[in-house]
Amino acid sequence: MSFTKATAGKLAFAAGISMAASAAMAADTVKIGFVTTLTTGAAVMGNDMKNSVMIALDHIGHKMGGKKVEVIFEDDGFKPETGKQAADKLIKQQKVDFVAGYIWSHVLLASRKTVLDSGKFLISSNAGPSQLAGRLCHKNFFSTSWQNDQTPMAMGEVLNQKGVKSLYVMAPNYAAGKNMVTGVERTFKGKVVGKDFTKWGKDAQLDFSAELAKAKASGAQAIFVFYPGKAGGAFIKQYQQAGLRGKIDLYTVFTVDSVTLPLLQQAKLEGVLGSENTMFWGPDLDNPVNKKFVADYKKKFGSYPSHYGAQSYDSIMLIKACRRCGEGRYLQDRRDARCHEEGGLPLRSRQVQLRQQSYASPELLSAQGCGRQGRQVDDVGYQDGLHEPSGHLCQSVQDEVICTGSRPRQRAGFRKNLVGAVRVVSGSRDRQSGPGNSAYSQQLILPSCCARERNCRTAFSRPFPCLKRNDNRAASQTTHRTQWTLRSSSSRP
Amino acid sequence: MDTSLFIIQTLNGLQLGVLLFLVASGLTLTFGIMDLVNLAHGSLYMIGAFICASITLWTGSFLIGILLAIPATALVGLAVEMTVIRNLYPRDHLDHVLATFGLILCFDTLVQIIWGPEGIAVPLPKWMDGQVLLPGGVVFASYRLIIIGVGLAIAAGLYFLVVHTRIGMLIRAGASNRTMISALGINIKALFTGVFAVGACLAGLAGMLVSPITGTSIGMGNEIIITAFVIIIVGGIGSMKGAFVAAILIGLIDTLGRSYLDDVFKLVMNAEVAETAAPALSAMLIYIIMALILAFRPQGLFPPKTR
Amino acid sequence: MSIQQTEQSKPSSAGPGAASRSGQRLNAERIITLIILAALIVVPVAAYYGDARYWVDLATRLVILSIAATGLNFILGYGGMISFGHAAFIGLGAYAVGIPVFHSINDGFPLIASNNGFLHFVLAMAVCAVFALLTGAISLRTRSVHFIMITMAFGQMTYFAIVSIEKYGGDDGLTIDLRSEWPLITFDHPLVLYGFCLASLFVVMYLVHRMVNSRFGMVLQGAKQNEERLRALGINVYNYQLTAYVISGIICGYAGALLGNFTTFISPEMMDWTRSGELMFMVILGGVSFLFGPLIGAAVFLLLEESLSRFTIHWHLPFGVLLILSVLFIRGGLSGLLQKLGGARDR
Repeated sequence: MSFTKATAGKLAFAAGISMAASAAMAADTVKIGFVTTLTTGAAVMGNDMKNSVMIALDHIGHKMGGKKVEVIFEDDGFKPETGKQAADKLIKQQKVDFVAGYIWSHVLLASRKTVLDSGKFLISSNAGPSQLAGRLCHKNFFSTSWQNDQTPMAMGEVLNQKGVKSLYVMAPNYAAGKNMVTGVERTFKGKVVGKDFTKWGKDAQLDFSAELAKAKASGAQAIFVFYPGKAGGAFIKQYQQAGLRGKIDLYTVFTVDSVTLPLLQQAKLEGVLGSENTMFWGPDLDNPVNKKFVADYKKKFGSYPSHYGAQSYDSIMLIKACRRCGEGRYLQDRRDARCHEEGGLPLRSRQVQLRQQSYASPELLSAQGCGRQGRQVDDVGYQDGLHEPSGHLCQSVQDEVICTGSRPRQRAGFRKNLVGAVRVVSGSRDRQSGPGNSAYSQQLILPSCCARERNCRTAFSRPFPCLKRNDNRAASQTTHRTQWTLRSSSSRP
Repeated sequence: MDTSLFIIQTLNGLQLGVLLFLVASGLTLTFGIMDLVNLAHGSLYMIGAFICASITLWTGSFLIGILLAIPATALVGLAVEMTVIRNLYPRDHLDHVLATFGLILCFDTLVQIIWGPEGIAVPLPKWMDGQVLLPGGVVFASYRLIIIGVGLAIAAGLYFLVVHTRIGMLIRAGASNRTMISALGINIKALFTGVFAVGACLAGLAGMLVSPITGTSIGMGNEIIITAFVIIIVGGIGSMKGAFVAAILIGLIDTLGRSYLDDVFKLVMNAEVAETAAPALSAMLIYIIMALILAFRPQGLFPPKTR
Repeated sequence: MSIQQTEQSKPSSAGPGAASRSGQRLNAERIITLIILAALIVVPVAAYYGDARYWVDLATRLVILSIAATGLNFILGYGGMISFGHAAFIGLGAYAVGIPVFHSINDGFPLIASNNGFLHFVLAMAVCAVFALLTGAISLRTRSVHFIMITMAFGQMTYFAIVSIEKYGGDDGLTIDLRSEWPLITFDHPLVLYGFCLASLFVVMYLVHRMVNSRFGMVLQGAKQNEERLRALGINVYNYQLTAYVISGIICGYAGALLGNFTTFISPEMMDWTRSGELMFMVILGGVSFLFGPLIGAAVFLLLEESLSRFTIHWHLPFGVLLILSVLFIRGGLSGLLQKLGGARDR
């Protein structure tokens, strides 16, 4: 009944092998289930993800490791239960090998067990609930996105750099909203003069008049908000209408993106111009793979992709990468490598070592194996429990999140300038090794989810050092490099 | 307490209140007169907003958008009434709920098919899109003042219509005793259709007015319809006066609750608990009010006189 | 309608005799019901061994929703109390499984921290009984549409209350990796869980059948027809209705506990007013105040959802149209339709 982690791991391993075998026997097709929101207003993100998957498939010629790829899209209707049913259907009826997608944390959490229990791989293309980084850590879970509080932590640093001393904070009243606020508060050194959590969910509050009036009265220098989707557009309009532009500077995360920007531009709402956000990715991120992705997306769909799209593109590429290693053994070797190594590693020391590596063999994209995310216990005041902040897990993630702000210059080009900082979308990769091939990585192997051990605690307990750069290009370059270094770790002979 | 902040919040509450009144007035008319539980009333709010937004983007003028969208929404309302709603009048509330929920599903899907999922942001003319300095040094968004003005004007117009015209007399009679007015040889079918179309216009107008603030989105009507039901229950079903008072009341309570509840809570508990409890309670507030009203005065605050 | 129906099927004892007596008139309904019952037993087993396990899940969900719908039908169909907040009971029942399991994994709250199935189900039913007693005592002071709205208000309050409890996941919901533990059986086997749900459904249906045809049920149905008259007879209708409301809440809480075990994921979404609406639609679609109505309604509802969503992501459109058409043209729900067909043929 109560599986230990070890048995679960073995089972997963066995399942993985047998899955590989049965899939090899069954068909020459790699089946990927992709769950996202294709109805309701949130479908705008879901469609973006779907389109990006199509681009990814085009780029790999609809083939992975010589096999045909079939992606089956399912709609979650923005409801956890529907999402779980979709996952059930994909696993039990369509018999997919991978389940990817997921915009929403609660939908992902609902589907998690179905997918992982069946021994299949679960790849989150957006949702980053903190539980999956901690208590629910699983070796078959991967993410191509982020943890909720990483991006706002970077924003906290930006605010420090800008000399902001007093801040008003607004976010929706749900788990991700709270994570975002926790993130910015962790790094921001000034005073938070006011905080509002607004109603979220199906009948989310979209009229922020009361909160904006409070913000204005509070005399804060700046306002930090997190409002994804349609609420973001609504907020920015009201920010402008309330006459706050030029009085209280606007700083956002996941609020201004290529989902909301075109709408605002269409309505000539310029309140957003000059506001700053942190973002791990931007359409103008300067690396060959991203350029190709963005250009092809624009050509095919006539608009810029959003980070939701980029992450989905990455998800397909991640799966492809797995397919290529170890001839038919799927993710197995690779996953074990990442899991053990990154999960158990005292991150501080690894970071130092990694920096010394060359960039010769950049790893594909920023897959976050579960291992990267050991259970965290940190010194900022969090206890073990359901709400596990992700901040420290990702000492390593500083390589991914950068402190910089977007500076949309003029309206004509402002979609293009929606940029924060950046992450690598890809590089070539060619490696054959599992963990066993690397003396170095063996040395680093620790049980995943090891943070319960005291020595790991100390390793996690350093504050998050954000990169101190606010020049877009320079910062993004640096990010690339550090990231590539990080990625290349497991590939070293 | 900061007085000017309080004034601003009161105005915000008033603005929310008049918007809610526009939705609730149509609902209370159809409910009071036709005894129709119309969950799809919110869909007309959404349809109005989307039509207006499209026309605004197309013509570049928000005013033209509103002027053209009102009759368009009325037409949609008529079409719905004549195809579906009309057949529901003799049925019981259960059938109403089921069929109008079906309508909601249809409308939401149709809107996604026609306008796409992303919604539309609606630009305001320059002269509406600023702030005004009110006496007492209070700075307030001019567009919200306009909404308050329009809402109050419509409320006055409806009051005149209901109290001082023949149609209003029929409406009041209908709310008091449905069977009687049909026995008096009134063309009840036409009256019902007319009332439904007026209700559709009012809901649509509310959607149009709110769209420059929140943008249009799929399902925006489902968010407001429950609040509108709360209002007509609190005000008394079928009562225009009740709907008005209750709408303003709910608007104020909701806004002021969101603004001051956490401060109040912080007086009696620690900040962290207050930050959790305040949003939860402010979300529940309107339901608590409705439950209290129903428990102690089930007929609502201003029930129409029934015979 | 309802009185007539129960008189037709009112047996001296529930059993084959009753079926044969009413069978002459209820031919079509009886055949369809038998087909559904047979399908409920055969299809999941076949699906499980035929490697189509998704159908087992679908059937389990169907059976659980049928239990809840039967609970709602007890007060809605027979008692005429239109509750628009019954999803709250399902949610509470599910959390009554989730919270003990949560604590047994994560420590804390030793009083209920357990995986014991008996504890979960007793807790679920007890919590729902108390909740139904409190809210019912207030709600039943109102009538007709006011009752609809006040039950919805209580449902929404529960929803927002649960959303605000961050410890149990708040809006994100609560993921439990363990199911209720029983002696001898395990819920981890899909067929066992399904069998348990199906047996529960039969028991619940039998109990409801017995209650409806008891004196208690007669009073309840009488109150739906003419409350004044019963009052004049010296019957305290309020007490009867409150009892029925509590029983109905308990049944839905039980269904919720099953649902929690089935999905192993519990979210406040389960309590949203649209869920109460869906439950109501299953009852109405199947035909109010028919014993098999909720089962037929839930089956049609789920199968429609399943098949339509296969063709298009915009399946809500045809679904909505079908809902409207069913209201306009099939009065008395599907059971009513079947009954009419059966009646017509016999005549």
